[in-house]
Amino acid sequence: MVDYREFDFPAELCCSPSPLIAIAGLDTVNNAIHRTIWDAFHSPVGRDSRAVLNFFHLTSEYKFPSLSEKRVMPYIPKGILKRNWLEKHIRYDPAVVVNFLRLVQSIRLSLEGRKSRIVVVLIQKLMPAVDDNITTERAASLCDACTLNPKALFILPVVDNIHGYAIRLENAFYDLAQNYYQQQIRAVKSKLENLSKTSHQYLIVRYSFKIGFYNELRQDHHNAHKHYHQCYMSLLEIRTFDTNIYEVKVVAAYIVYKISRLLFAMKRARDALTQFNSHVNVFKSMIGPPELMFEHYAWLSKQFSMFASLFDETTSESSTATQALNPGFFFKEAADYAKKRKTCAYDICQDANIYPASDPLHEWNNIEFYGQRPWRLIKTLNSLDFNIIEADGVQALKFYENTKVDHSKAIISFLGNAMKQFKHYKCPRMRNLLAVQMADEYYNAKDYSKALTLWSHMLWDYRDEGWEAIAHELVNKCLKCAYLTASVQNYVELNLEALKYYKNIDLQKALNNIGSIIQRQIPEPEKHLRNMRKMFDGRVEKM
Amino acid sequence: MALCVAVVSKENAPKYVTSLNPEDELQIQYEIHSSIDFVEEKLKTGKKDMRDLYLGLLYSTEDHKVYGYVTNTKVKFFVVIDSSNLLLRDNEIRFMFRKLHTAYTDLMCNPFYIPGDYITSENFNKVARGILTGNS
Repeated sequence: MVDYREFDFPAELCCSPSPLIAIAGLDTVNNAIHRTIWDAFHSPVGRDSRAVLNFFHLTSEYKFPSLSEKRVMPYIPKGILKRNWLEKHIRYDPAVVVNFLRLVQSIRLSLEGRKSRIVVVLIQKLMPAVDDNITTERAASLCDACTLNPKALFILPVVDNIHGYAIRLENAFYDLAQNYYQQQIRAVKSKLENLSKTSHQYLIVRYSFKIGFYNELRQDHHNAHKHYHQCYMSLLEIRTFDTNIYEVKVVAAYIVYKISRLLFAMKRARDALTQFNSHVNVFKSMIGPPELMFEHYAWLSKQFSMFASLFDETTSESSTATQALNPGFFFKEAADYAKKRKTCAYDICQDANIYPASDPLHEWNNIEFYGQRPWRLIKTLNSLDFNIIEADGVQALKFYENTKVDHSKAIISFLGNAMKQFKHYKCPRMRNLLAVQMADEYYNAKDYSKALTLWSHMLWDYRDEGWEAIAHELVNKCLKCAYLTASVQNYVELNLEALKYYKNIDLQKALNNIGSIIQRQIPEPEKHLRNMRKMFDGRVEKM
Repeated sequence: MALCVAVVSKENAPKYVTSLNPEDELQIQYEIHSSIDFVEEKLKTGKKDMRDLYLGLLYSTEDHKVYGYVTNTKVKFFVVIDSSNLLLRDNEIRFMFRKLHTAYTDLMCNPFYIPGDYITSENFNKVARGILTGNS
C-alpha cells in the first residue's frame, strides 16, 4: 500500500495566492547587477505598502503546463474541481512575463495560446537623458521588432537606489497582472453564461470557483467571496449518490475554507461563523455509505479543526473572539468528532486486517479531480468487476483506518489545542474538563503514567472546589492508573484520599490495601483489573 | 422538561444537584462546573441590568444546554435541558429559575437550616423535582 493520505486541505488551497510574474533573462548566478535586481524585487523593505507579487525564474528549459484541449462547450465533465488547476495558477501559469532582454520571439512562441502579458525591461548603465530622441526611436524600433506594445517596454537604470525603480516596476507588473486576471475572468464568465442549471452543475461549480480564485489572485476579496459563495450554493444543488458524495463533500470543504478565510481576512468573523455553522448543519447528515461512516466523522472533525485554526490565526491580534465564542470550542468539537470516529472505526473496521491485492489506493496521488476515489481509475470491463473493485476500495480504506490511523494522538492533540485556547480566554474550569478527557484518552492509549499525572492534578482542582461526585470518580480512575503503573507512593496517597469518598465495602477494601502495602504484600486489584496483579510483583518488597 | 437542576454556592461548590437520569448526572456535573467560568466572566464584566438575575444560555453541547441564574448573594442556580428540546422558551426557563429562587428564599428563612450546608430540605427537593418532571 502506497503512503495513502486521508482527506486534508492541500497546500495550494491554504496559501494566500498572489499574481504570478515570470522573470526571464536574469542571470543571478554570474551577474552581480542581475542579482541586485532580483534581490530588489524580494527585499523586505516597505513590504507592507508594496504590491504582493510572486516572482519566479523563467529559464529556457521551462515548460509551460500544456493547455487543456479545446472542447465544444458545454460538455459533461468527469468531476468537479481538477486537482492540478490551483497549483497551475499559483506556480506555473504567469500573468506577466518579464523579459530582461531575451529572445522575445521564442518566449512568445512558447506562450502560444496563453494570454499572459509580455513585458520587456532594458537594463541601462547610465541614467537616461530626459528628452533623448535617439533613445525614443530605438525603443520604438525595438517594440516594432518584437510586436510589443510601447507601454510594455520599461527601462531600469542601474543606479544606487535600484530599490525605488524596482517598486515602480512592481506596480507596473501588478497593474498588468490585474488586467490579465480580469481578462481570464471575463473568458470564464462568458463560458458560464451558456450553461444550463440542470445539466451542467459540475461545470457551474467549477467555473464559479475559477472566477472566485482569479478574483483572489487580483486581491479582490469582496468579489472573490461573492463568487465562492455562488459556487457553494450551486454545489448544494448537485444531487448526491454514493458515488459522488465524497467528492461533493471534499469540494464543499475546500470552498468553505476559501470563504471562511476571506471572511476572516475582511474582518467579518460573525459571517464566517454563520456560514460555517450552516455548512456543518447541511453536511452533518450526509453520511454516505454506512460502511464508511468513520470517514464522515473524520471529515467533520477536520472541518472543525480547520475552522478553529483559521479562527485562531486571523483573530489572534484583533479581539473578535470572546470567552463565549473562541476557537477552543471548535477544537473541542473536532476532538468530539475524532472520538466518534474512533468508536466508529472500532465498530466497523476492527476485522479489516488485510489490504486487498488489487491495490485500490495505488493511484491516490494521480487522480484528476479533488475527492474522487483512486480505485475508480482502474479500467473495468463489466459491472461485476466494478462492484468487486468498489468493495476492494472500501476494504482498503477500512484497512487504512484500522491499522494506520492513530486516533488517540489526534484526539489528544485537538484537546491540547482546545485547552490552550480556553486558558487564553480565561476558562480554567473548561480547561479542567478537557484535561480530564485528555487523560481518558491517554488511559485508552495505555499511557497510564501520563493519565495519572493529569487526573491527579484535576482531582485536586475539583476537590478544592468541593465537587465531590467528580472527585470521587477521579479517585477511582487515578487508583486504577496507580495500580497499573505500580507506583506505590501514589497508590497509598490515593487510597488515603479515597477514604473520604468511599463507603462500606469500598472503604474496607481501601483500608485493607493500605494495610497490605504496610505489610509488604501485594494489594487487592481495583475493579476490572484482576489480571494485573503481576504489575506489583517485586515492587512492594523493595520498600 | 429539564434534565438537571443544581445550586452552587458563592464559593462555587455544589450545594444541591438533582437530575432526571442518574446515569448522566456525572457528565452534567462536569458541564455545570465548566459553565461557572462563563458566570464568573459575566459577573466580572457587569451585566447591563443588575436587577435581572437571569443569565441566559451559558453553554451548549450536542446533548445539553446549560442555563444560569445568579442571586444577589452570588449563589448560582443552573438548569440543564436537552438540546433536542426546541419547545422550551426562554420565558419558561426564566419561570423555572424564579420558582427555584422562591424555594431557596423559603429555605433560607428556615431557622434550622445553616446557610452553606448541603441542601436536604424536602420542600426544596419537591420544587426542584417538579421542575425536572415539568408538572408543578
